[in-house]
Order: sequence, then C-alpha cells, then structure tokens
Amino acid sequence: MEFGWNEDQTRYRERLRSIIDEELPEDWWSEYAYDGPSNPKVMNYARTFARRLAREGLVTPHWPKAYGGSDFDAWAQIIINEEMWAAGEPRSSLYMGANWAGPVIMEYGTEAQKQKHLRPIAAGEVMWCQGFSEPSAGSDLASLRTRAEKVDGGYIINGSKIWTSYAHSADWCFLLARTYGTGREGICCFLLATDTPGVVRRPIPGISATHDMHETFLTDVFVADEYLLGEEGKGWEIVGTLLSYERVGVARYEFASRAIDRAVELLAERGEFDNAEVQTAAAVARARCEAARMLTYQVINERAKGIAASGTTNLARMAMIEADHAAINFISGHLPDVLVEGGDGLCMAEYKIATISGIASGALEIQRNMAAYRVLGLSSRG
Amino acid sequence: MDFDLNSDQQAFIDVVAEIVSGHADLPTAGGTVARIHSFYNQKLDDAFAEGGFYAAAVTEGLGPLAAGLMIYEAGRSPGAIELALSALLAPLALGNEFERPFAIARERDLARPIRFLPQAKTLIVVGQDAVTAIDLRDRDVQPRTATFAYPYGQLADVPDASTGTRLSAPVAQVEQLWRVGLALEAAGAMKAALDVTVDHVKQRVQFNRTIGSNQAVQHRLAECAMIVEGARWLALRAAWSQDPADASVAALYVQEHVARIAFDTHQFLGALGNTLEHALHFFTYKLRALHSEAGGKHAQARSVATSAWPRAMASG
Repeated sequence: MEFGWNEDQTRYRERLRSIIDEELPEDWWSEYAYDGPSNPKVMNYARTFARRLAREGLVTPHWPKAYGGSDFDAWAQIIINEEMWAAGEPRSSLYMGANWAGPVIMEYGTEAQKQKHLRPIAAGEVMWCQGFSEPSAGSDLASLRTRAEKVDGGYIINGSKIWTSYAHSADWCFLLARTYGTGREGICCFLLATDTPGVVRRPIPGISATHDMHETFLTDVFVADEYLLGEEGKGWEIVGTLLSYERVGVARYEFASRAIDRAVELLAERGEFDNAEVQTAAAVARARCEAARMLTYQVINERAKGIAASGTTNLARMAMIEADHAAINFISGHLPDVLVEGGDGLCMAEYKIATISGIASGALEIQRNMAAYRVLGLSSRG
Repeated sequence: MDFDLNSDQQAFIDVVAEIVSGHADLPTAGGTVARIHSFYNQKLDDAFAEGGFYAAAVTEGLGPLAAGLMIYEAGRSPGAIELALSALLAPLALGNEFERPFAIARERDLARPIRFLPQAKTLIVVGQDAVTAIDLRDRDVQPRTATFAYPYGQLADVPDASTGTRLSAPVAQVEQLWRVGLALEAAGAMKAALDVTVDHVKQRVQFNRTIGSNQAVQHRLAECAMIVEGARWLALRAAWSQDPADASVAALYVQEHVARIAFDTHQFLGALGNTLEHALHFFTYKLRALHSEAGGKHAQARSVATSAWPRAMASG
C-alpha cells in the first residue's frame, strides 16, 4: 500500500500539462470554458484540440494498442482525466467516446463495428452523446419506451430522449430503444449517426451549463442491422458495463479544487479571506475534494487490477457530489458577484457544472441505494 | 499508487488484528458486561509493548504506514489504549528519551482534563513556539470521570510548560503527527460504530420488517459508509506521506464528520445504544472526545488553509 506516483506517471502528468499550456488560448476561461465543456464554442475548440491529442496518442491512451491506444493502465487514465479537468475539460465530450462508448464497442461489438468506430474515436474525429433518459424514464432507465421495430435490413425507431448532454454537436448517439417487452428485457443498444433522417435535437435552456440538456426526437428513424450493438433485446448488460465506466474516471474533484483555489485567491485580493469562517468553509470544501479523490483512486485501484466494479464506485460518486456542492456553496456563499456575467470564468464553470452533479450519471439517491446494498448488504427485502 | 497491502504489510496487520481481536473482550462485573464509560485496555497495551509494535514506524520494511494501520485497527476496538502517540509521535519525533504512555495537550489546556493523563508517564505540551515534555511520574494526577470513552485526568498542580524538557522536534512536526494519530484513531472508531449499527439494523424488526430494509435508514448509512471510507483513506495517506497538508486534511475531515456518525449510529441503535451495556458508546464517545482534539475543526481548517493557500493566508 502506498499513495505516491512513480517517475513515469509524474513525467506523463508533466507532459500533459505542457501540452495543455501550449494549446489552450489565452482567453480560455473568459471566452470558452466559463460555460462548461458542453458549450458549442468549447465543443468546436475540442475538435481542434483533439488533433493535437491524437498526434500525441492522447485521445485513448488507455485503450489496447490494437485499437489505437497505448495499453496505458487505469492510473494513466485518471492522470489524464485529472489534468484535463483541472483545465476545465478542453476535450469536451471526446471523453464519452474514449471512456465508455469505445470500451463497450470493444467488449460487445462485431469486428466490423470495431473497425468502423474505434479508429475515429481514437483519432479524436468524432463526438458521442448518450441517448438514455426519456421523459418517463430517468433513474428508472429500464422503463424506457422508445421503440425499435424490426424491418428488412434494420430497425425503424420512434420515440424521444431527454436531458441528452452534448447532443447538439455530437456525431454519434449511443441510443437505447426496445424491440419488445418491458423493463430490462427487450432493450437494445444502437450506434446512431445523429445526422440520420428523422433525428431532431433541441436544446433545453436551464440553470446549468448551456447545451447541457437537450430533447432528441426520433421519428421513423431507420437504423441498419449493422448498427445494433450486441444481441437484440439483451442490451441491459451492456448498459450496466457502460454505466460502470461512466460513473468514475471523470476527475471532477480536480476541477472543484481549482475553483476553490480561485475563489480563495479572489477573496484574498479583496481582503476577505482573513476570517476563520471563510477559511474553514474553504478548507472543508477542500477536504471533501480530497475524500472524493481518494475514493476515486480506490476505484481506479480496482480497475487497474482487473477487479470487478464494486460498491466503491457508488461511494466515490457520492463523495464527488458532496465535494461539488461544497465548492459551489463556498463560491455562492462568499462571492456571488463572480457568478454574474463578466465574473470569473473558472468559478462560473464549476458553478454551472456542479449544479447538476447530483442528478447526471446516476442520481445521488440511486447511488445511495446501490451503496447500501453493495457495501453494507442492506436490502429492501427484510 | 496501490491501495492493497504488500506481503510485509499484510503479515504485519494480520498479527496486529489477531492481537487486537484477542484482547477485545469487554470488562465484566458480576458475570455480566461492566457498565462503564471507558476502560484502559492494559492487556492490549502490554501485548503491543512486548511484541515491539510501538517501534513499527521506524522498523525497516514497515514504517509510518504500518504504524498507521495498527492505530486504525486498534481504534476499532472498544477499549482505550494510548497508541497513536506511542506509535507515531514518539518514534518519529521524540526518540527514546521519554517514557510512554504519553498524554498530549496544548499549553493553554494544561489546567483542564487531559486524555490518558492517569496512565501517562510523559505529558507532551505543545506551545506556540516550542514543545516540551513533562515527566508525570512524581506529579499528582487526579482521575476525572467522563462519558467520553477514554480515561481523563487533571493535574493537581499545573506546571509551567517551560519547566519541562524542550524537544528538538518543531511544533509543526508534533502537530502533524498529533493530527495523523487522531485521524487514524477516529477513522477506526467510525468504522466500528458503523459496523455495529449495520449489524443491528439487519436484525432489528419493527412494523414487520427489519429497520435496515427502509430506504431512509439505508441512505443515511450509505452516507456514513462514504464518510468512513473517505476518513480511512485520508488518514492512511497522511500516515504514509508524513505530509503536514495531508495530516491537516485528514484531521479536518474526521472532526467535521464526528457529529454525523455519532448522531446517525445512535439514532439507529435507539435506546439500546444509549446503554453502557451496548458497545456503541465506546466508539461514538471516543469520537466525541476526538471531536475537539488538537484545537478542533477550526484549528485543522486553518492548517489546511495555510498549506493550500499560503499567499492568501499571508496577505491577511
């Protein structure tokens, strides 16, 4: 047991920082990142940034070499995620393809699907979004209603998705639809090109980052057989795998910490950091970020050793939500003016991203349910 | 980065765990569990001393992390034992000059009840600019009863701290080791409190179902589990790194969450957990004692702020 980084990991981190420093524009925070990584300006920038990352082999370094990666381990993955999130995630939704869409295609896809999709993801050429939630299927994802009717050569899909992050600029959508049944049986995973006729995407204005949420309408959308991932009607297993990849690895404790640092800097400039209450609030927020970091590392430790995902994943998510809210409560409780137009980009970005922290990627209440069962062995039966 | 024990660490903690579990019996009186607020586990103390375990922090192949693992493990036991100072502070900052067990207090708290004072042979006094060690063997220490699950005592004649032996170890180092010790001890007690509570809610039936089958109970205990795991890793990291910033973060995290763990575990144990017969109070009332140790949450927060934001703290 030890908690340090070896020389290779340290050099890797330094290399990443140097690339980020070289590439990000000077007005990154004030003109791009202040509105979170789903802002169209950031997404457009990410396509350019992706080319540099691809040249450096840094879009999917944790993938197998056979699929455009470098066989880096889970620790290398969390290092790159930390450095990117410390900079406000200039990769935007590239991480979706790299962190979960690509990995599940590797695990469940046909050779043709791997050939078609993995290279573009590794090259940073495509962005993915997640067509999961529906108006009547949020936490209870298995109750989704979007239908896929089998026809000659493929499927006709009708339905709608909601809350879809990054949908407006995504090239591909990992779409869930059912061919039969209710509940977990009958769910299929489709790899849907978002420019397919019949797909309409509309942003939903909200209090979190712009373009964080969309409605996606699917009207008589034809998807060929070759875009079905895995076996028809047996997609729920794939969903479980995907969600376990998605839940942890987004190193937002790094971003929350930077936002707290920035808020402290601003308060000190104003002569307002010199009191115990403010110092304690900042320190408590920092401590919560560190707890989230350590629990995330515990999950990465499992991944690096090939241990199946455990309840640690849920505890890490819970801790990250707590850290996010400690950060934004500190900022809004002491520096509300920096959250108004023209204020501070970093603080504003954390504020917008963290607002949805307890809801996206599996609501806090679901994480608590799962932690109670997986970590403590508590069940509703009894 | 590796969250699993290597073979030496595993062998060490296996032996520690066996010793701790072999000395975990609660004292009895008249054939039943004694109704007491605390008990000093002298047999466990003796077992560690005879085995040379107090030197783990400076033993090749083991080191401060091994000592930390030992403090955490012993923290899960109901009895009190002066381990944190003996296993970390003494070998890393005091050398062999002073006799254990130890007690520790800030200079301004010398006149107040101090944890472990009845057993201690040396009192470590942390002042603003220096740390001194006071020999307690010829001093009049009056035991004080408390609901806290530690023995407390008070000095009948409060000495001037400067009359003690001035230590070469700087204040910052002593405070860092004090913080790591309390974080480890608290993390162990939190784990034990959670474990007995989860066992209880799985068995206790009300309204035709176990109370642990209710979502409200599950959610609160899941939050407690998150705190318990977070506390453990922060404390172990602080033991391994010997970094003052890590020590401050770990101590702040545990002190900030004492109230939550103590409240929820007692709520779920109900009146049973309120009795001296049930073991829960040994853990939660250790936590209550550690809640304000080393200056409490605000002192730790100030230390975190000084490490994390030195320019902001200096600018005033």
